[in-house]
Amino acid sequence: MATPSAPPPKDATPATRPRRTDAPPRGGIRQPAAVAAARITSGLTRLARHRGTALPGFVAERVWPATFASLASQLRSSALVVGTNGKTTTADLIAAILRGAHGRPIANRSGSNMRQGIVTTLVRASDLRGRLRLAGGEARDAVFEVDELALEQILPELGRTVIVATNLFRDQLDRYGEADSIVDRWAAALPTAADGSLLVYCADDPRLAMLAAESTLPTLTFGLAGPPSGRDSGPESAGMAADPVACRVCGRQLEYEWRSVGHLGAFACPEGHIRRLAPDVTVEVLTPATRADEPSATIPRASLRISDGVETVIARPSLPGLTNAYNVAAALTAARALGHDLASSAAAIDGSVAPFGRFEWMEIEGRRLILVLVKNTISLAETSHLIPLVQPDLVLLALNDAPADGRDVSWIWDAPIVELVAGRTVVLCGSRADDLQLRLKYDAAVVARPPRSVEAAGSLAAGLDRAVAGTRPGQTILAGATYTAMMGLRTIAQRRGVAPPPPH
Amino acid sequence: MATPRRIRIVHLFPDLLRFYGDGGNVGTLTRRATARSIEVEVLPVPVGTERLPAADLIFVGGGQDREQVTVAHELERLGPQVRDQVADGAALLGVCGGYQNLGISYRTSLGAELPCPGLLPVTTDGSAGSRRLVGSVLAEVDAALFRDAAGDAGPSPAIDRSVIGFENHAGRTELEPGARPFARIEIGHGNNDRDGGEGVLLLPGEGGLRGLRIGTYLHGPLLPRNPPIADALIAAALARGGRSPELAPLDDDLDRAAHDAACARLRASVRADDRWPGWAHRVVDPVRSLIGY
Repeated sequence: MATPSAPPPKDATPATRPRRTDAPPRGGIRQPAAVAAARITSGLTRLARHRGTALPGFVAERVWPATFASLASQLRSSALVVGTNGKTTTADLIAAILRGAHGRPIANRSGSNMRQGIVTTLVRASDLRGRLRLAGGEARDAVFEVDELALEQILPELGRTVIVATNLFRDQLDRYGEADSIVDRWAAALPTAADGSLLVYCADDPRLAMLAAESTLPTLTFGLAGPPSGRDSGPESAGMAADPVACRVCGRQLEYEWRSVGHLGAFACPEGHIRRLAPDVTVEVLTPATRADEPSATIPRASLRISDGVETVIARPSLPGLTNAYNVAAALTAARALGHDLASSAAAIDGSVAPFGRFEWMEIEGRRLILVLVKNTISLAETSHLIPLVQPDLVLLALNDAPADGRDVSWIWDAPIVELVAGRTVVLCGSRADDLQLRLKYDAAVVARPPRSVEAAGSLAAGLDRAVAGTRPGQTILAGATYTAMMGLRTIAQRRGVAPPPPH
Repeated sequence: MATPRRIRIVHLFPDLLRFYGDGGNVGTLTRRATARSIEVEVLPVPVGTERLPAADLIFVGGGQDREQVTVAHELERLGPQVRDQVADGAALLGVCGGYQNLGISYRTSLGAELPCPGLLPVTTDGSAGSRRLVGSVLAEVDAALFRDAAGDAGPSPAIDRSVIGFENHAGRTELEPGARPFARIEIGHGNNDRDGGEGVLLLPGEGGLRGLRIGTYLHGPLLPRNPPIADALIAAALARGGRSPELAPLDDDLDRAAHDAACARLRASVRADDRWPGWAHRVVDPVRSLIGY
């Protein structure tokens, strides 16, 4: 029988470290050469206005294979964020907390979350001697978001770190395969973490709980304080959107007392092999978001009560919805593992807005455009839950099937989207707009409130134009888009001068 | 006016096998039947059910390896009941995991031999090839499917036999001698990446059972993207008990346009790949992935 590892005492040593006294691996001339070659490559790719970030890291590691280990060993502390949904938002929040405390942390962009992209990020933060630049005379912190398949390539050489696992949903089955196989890969990767590393994970996610139960790493967990309010949270509430999850010991399906998002919730193996343990840090949604129409120009704020049993704080980030409540809890728990108390962390993220394309607000010809990344069944289902909070006048859905989106778009049929489109003007675009249109056609016959109108616009630019034409100034457009469609819509908005350029 | 026609669809184990838009398959059957004033009753059969309700059509979707093990044990109990119903004329559709589970034998990726009910004349080895067969599929459905649905009058020239979908499976499936593949692959891998066959098709009466049987790796989902197959299944479900399988045509302009656009896109992408020989791809593709183009 698997016994979940006990949470660490509340006064656990923070997983930061002083600058290492043992010398990092030396590469002689190859160390500065690797950094120089990568920096030249990086400059050339930027000159070519190419946003790819794998190439400089690839070049650096060809010149000197120990580039990553050497640069990573010069960090003051590091945190890795892995998971299906919420990586970018969580990493961004952790960076905001660390920025408040220690100067700007090194952080990678969401598109650079494979090993080579992370090497590129480190190289760009280095001087020409091949050493990481200091900030205010001190070594810097780093927060990396890491692709599900890249954890095993990064963990062994990173040194002591805080691993933050947000959740694990089925996602892009054509690339990742089954969620169970990701659990297997992570289970194999975790023992390669350096001594003193710590695992922060969502106690409501049974896949992560089973992973932690098999690991010897100390843990710190986060989760909801209780069943979520304001939505159906019964054991059967998730419908087709939730993944079935079997106990890793006996193979029987888990049972639920309540559910929050998909397969997250209060779970238990019917034979008692695993059950949800009370989270070390709990979050409760007091207000999911102030109504969008109250302070007209500002982004609505959530009000979250976060507690570690000793300290209780209210966090007010401009991030609506239950999935963002989980992201905030993940960030505050990770920061606590890095030695920051809840109060200072909550203050650091007060009014924090989402990183670009993750519930990003912009104004386009007098309309409010809210851009949301929708990449799998769960994120589509959760976008439906945002409807009451943002009250959109028009819904724009952009579905692409490039490799970065997942080439198989079957998932759009598994999410409940009735609420998302009911009674609204809907505009569809992207390379697979046809599939969305078909889905809505088949739904229309069986739902009580079909969309007011559905129009397929073809290209992303045409979709955005139609959305603007279909609304009046002062109205709200909710745009849900897969990764490359989100990037594309954003680039178009940026060219029109309505969106700020992406970071870096 | 005659009594309204009615079909009962049994959805096996929706609590376990619900990947790849399985809800879309059942929804499409429902929608296309009700549009013809056929009453539809969908009966979800969760794990642990002792008695299978009477069905005109039985659907089994896809899932993960771990769930397929559970399904195999469930089918040890329910398999004979499924066989009785299919013997009596109920149609059977198994997609991906469901296709594998309904065969004669299935060896999982871990090498475990799962019990199988033998409702489809196929054997699947999940440990044989380490490389998953993943990608878009374009294939041509065996004409016999529509010949039968059209009542021996030969395939209607209006029926487009092209079928599109997405496959994602590690298992290699072999048909028993004499068994007929559901479709011939034009683009994609199919049952085993070797013989050009995709899925398996048994017409009513073949193999001693009176129901139409289809097993396939195609999701996407299969039925909304390929309405003629949905209609063939509805007709087969109606035919049970001697009801008229006649189906009035529906307004399928949108469906057909989406289907044709998908076929054209797929053929164009293959043509683009064919501009370079295979060895060039081995060099160029990693570089392209590195620079993000």
